[in-house]
Amino acid sequence: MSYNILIVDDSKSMRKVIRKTLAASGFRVGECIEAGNGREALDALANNWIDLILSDIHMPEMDGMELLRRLREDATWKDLPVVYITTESNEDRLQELVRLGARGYIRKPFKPEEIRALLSDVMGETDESAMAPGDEDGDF
Amino acid sequence: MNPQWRQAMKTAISEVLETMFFAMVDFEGEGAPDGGCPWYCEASIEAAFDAGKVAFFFRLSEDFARMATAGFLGSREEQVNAEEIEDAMKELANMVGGNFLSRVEEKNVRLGIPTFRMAPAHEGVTGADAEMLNLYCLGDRVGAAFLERR
Repeated sequence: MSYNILIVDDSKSMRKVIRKTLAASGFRVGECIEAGNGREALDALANNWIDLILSDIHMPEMDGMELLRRLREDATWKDLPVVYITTESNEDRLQELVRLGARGYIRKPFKPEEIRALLSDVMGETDESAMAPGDEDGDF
Repeated sequence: MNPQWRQAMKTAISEVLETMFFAMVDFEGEGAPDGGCPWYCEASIEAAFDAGKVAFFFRLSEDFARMATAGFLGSREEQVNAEEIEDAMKELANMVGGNFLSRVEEKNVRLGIPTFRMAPAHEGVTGADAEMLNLYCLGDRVGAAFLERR
């Protein structure tokens, strides 16, 4: 099984890096959809089947915390897994996200194996069910 | 400046550059140890915490900014454009700032929004409480990082 992932970050370059890191990680990725902030993410959810969201926290217009609040208030999206990739170093803020229902977070800088381990855990995958790193577009 | 901060700054810069930009730097090498070179670009970010504010500045040569951006994006150096360099250098400031703050014992930290400008002038980071680290890559001076307490 592969997963459709929504990448939410206001940096176009960081979205590209996350997409390439996912491909290199061995995690089974179906389609990658991109959004530049929380509001664009909500629009993308309305038009695409998404299995998992990877989001930044600090973004203009609608930040990652507000996005999570909106998702948890919506019956359609309240159980959608959301994982943060962030530079946030304020532990209280990170714990607040977990309390709101975030499934985990990865601090930048990150390594492909860290992403794979956390996402496999969040999606309930065993290590054997993941692809070998580099099997899929893994020229990173 | 607090020696713990200086070490945290070095560790943050090395870890971010090596992990995300596939670039390695040294902090000691040949070349003038001052901030007066006409650098290609500057990326900066401010952080606040209960005890005050700090700002990080990176002033970099074009060759290094281009090489680091190519490493970050997995592209070839000659394919990297100005917009990508700006985006990547903002991320560099953002990640180093966040990494640094996770290493120092400050309460209630808040990281600002990174900024970028071309051909920076020399004002702004010459205060008495500013720390500067020269950055060298393969023996060449490729830039300088500043941490200014505000």
